[in-house]
Amino acid sequence: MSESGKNNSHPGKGLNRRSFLKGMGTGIVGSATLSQGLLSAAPQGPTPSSKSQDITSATVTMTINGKRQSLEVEPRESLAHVLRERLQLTGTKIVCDRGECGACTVILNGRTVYSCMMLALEAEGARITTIEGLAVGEKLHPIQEAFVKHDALMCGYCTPGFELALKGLLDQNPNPNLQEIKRGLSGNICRCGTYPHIFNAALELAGGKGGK
Amino acid sequence: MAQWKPLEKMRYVAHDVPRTDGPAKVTGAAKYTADIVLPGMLYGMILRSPHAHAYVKNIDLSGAEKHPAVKAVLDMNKYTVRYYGDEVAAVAATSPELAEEALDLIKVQYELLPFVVTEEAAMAPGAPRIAEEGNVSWERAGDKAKVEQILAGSSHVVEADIRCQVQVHACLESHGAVAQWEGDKLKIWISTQGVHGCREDFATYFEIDQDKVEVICDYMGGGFGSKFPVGVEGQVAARLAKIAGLPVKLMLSRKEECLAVGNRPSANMKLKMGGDSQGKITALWQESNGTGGISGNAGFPMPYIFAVPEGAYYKKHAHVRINAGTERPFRAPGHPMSAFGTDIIVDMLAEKAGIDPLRFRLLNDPDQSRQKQYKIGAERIGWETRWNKVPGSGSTGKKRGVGIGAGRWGGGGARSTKVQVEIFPEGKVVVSTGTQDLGTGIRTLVHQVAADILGIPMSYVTPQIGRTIYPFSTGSGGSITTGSVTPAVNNACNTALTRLFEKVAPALGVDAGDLACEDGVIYAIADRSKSLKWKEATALLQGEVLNITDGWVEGLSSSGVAGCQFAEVEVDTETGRIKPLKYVAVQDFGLAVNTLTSRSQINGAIVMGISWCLSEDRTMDPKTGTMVNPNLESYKLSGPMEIPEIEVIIDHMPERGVIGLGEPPQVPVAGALANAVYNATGVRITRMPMTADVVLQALAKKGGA
Ligand code: FES
Ligand code: FES
Repeated sequence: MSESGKNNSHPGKGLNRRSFLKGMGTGIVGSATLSQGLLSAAPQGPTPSSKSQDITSATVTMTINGKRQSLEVEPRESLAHVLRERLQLTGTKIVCDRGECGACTVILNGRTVYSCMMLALEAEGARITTIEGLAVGEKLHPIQEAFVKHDALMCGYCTPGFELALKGLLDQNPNPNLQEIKRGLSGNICRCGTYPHIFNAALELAGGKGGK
Repeated sequence: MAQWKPLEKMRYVAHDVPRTDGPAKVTGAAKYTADIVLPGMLYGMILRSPHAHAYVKNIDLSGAEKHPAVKAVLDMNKYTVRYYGDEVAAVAATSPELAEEALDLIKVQYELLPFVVTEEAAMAPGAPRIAEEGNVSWERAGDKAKVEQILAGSSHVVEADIRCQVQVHACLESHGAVAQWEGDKLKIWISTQGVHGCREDFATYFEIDQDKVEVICDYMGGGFGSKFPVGVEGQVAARLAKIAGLPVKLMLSRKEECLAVGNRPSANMKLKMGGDSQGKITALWQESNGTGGISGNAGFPMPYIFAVPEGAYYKKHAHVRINAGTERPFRAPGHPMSAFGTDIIVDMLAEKAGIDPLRFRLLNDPDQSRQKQYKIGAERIGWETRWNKVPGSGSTGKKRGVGIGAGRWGGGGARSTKVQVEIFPEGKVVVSTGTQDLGTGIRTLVHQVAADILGIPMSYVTPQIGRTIYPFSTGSGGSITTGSVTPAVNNACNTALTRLFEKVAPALGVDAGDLACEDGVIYAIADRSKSLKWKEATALLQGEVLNITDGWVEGLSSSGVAGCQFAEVEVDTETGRIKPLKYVAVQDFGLAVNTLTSRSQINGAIVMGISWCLSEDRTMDPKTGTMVNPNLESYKLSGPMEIPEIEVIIDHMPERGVIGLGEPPQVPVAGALANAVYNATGVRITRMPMTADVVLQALAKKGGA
């Protein structure tokens, strides 16, 4: 039995959200095998022609954490990716990259969204709050203060997503009970299992202090 | 032997102290490996086998090499791929999208081989042999005939078929690295549980000296045992960067994370336990198997917790290889399975013997700490009123019950741990050690201990960890980080303080040995009027930075911890849904350095145990050999809705010194839950995950019986 050809289903990736566009770039490619020793500096691979190719990009204008910005993005780039890799707003995490965990939660036009599930282009004209936009200078936002105080975080990787999900909840309902808090946060996952302390932080904030 | 300062002299140790890195984490300022962006950085990506088992006949990289955005291509040089997701080749390109595109241009010709992805299939007669060593390696102990004879002569014998499924670590930050070469020097950010171990691994791999490698892990998003080795992904990132002459970021996708970077092995066990008329355990009989994927390694320690008389234990265990990603250590390796099986079979024996399971444990558990803990926990959960004497006898519809589980763990500390303390003339103190904070809070513990030993406010101290430029510290596994690091911090700070006292003693006109420091004031013990504020004292260093490095000492840590947990659940007999209502965890871990972060650890372990018991399940498709749920949607982790009330009781034993806590509370969770489900419903469910359909089937079977 043998098979040849393209691995159209290589297991590393599984999403078709991004359309395939040809990107631009030229350069020298080296090849090697993992088991061989160190490579010499000389490239071994073929040198591609340096003919430029068309790149499709578009401009998107967003107000991020109060600052209006226009930038060039590829149409297939997710909002999460643009925030992280282009704007270095890396508090927004990508964990599942397909709307299953909430780590990439941001607030967009007053509503919490999974930024991994949106194209950056779809955010044209939007007002976006990321975790970097909560504190005012050195002064932590009440949600952030409560998270620190109650140790509502361990590794911290899910934390920005939870804080923004909680902000979204408190903005809608400033006085949630425990059940409402659980429901309001149920789009987010924490592998370290900090939930009980997140609930403690949220309960302290319930009463309207955390929403602003 | 060294001793801890008396607790009443400590302002931070044994208190609730919020995390030092809390503000960095809650503001998004903390930079994890995945967050590093370097100028000119490329994105690495790995091509993985779409087959469970195949020869790689031919691989054509030219398509990827010609792609204009691709700067490096790597062939893994594999002749055989042995699981769905095994690494075949890799590329580095100018964006993740373009790297993905380039992977599609690599043409691989496979010759498919027969595969097995379940324990049963791997052990079946005539099963295809998937490894040279064979599919199964056996582990045996005891004399079967003799143990069966003891069972035959026992007053009570119970039997159970137990199943613990494979669990993946699912760290939210995936495995990966950002590699940058500066000449022959490698600088690498990597999400790891051991920066110094990684330095050694990279040096070995590239055949360079260790001083040519700098490893950085300032923050990391969970490891749970899966992030010790640099891994293929770490090697590939560094190789691609070397080839391209540019920095490379390679972080695994969620799918890769599920397939290729570790899991907790399964454990399928048939157990028999005997008891005498007094309720003492007479014998334990075990035939079992488990799979750790392609490496096969799948052990768990038995007998567990309870004393089984000498010569009365028999075991035949199969470590089974299947075509799936290999296991890696996972939070208390082996123990949660041991505990799950043991807690269930012991509960069954207690019932058969007509003894309350709580009393049965007190009768059979030889550990003095747990003897005390059972009583504390029973009181907190309300055992007397909540335990159904007749299981399943509670109200109809939604039924409630309670159950017990128990665990133990080691701990200890690494003698090789070193800590550097720098005291600056302006009063600032920097404490550095090359450990790493997985989310456990060790950065905060370093901070607390340093401040308390020096006798100064935490605000004067800056802890530095997570880099190989700091003194050697061991990998974070086996719950040894606290036992390694905090004694070394204690000792190094004491040494530094003695040095500082020597500098300032003349100014106070006393002997250095007669000085102490408390609340930021250095004073003569005999005459408190002779004193200097900390910053006045450090000013006497006159521009010199006092800099000492010292190491771990005996006497400040120990090993061996005990714990037990009580669960209360509600089972909806109509929907089959199990809802944990409350957990009480009683846990000993010696001196609790930070009671706040310790409660987080215990909460987290309980959540992870519930998640394992009720919903997580790595599901392999026997037809295609693939994992069918490599994501966070159908591989289901417990979320906010599934979380019970958790009461943590720290069984504080400061006289024992520090002992790590990461693993022990993970152990008793599932057994307590299983026993509570039985107590609620009268139906014994011994197979995980206990999803609604499993519960409904079990209930129906009982109803029909
Ligand atoms: S990363 Fe967006 S929901 Fe998981
Ligand atoms: S704190 Fe680690 S995943 Fe939530």
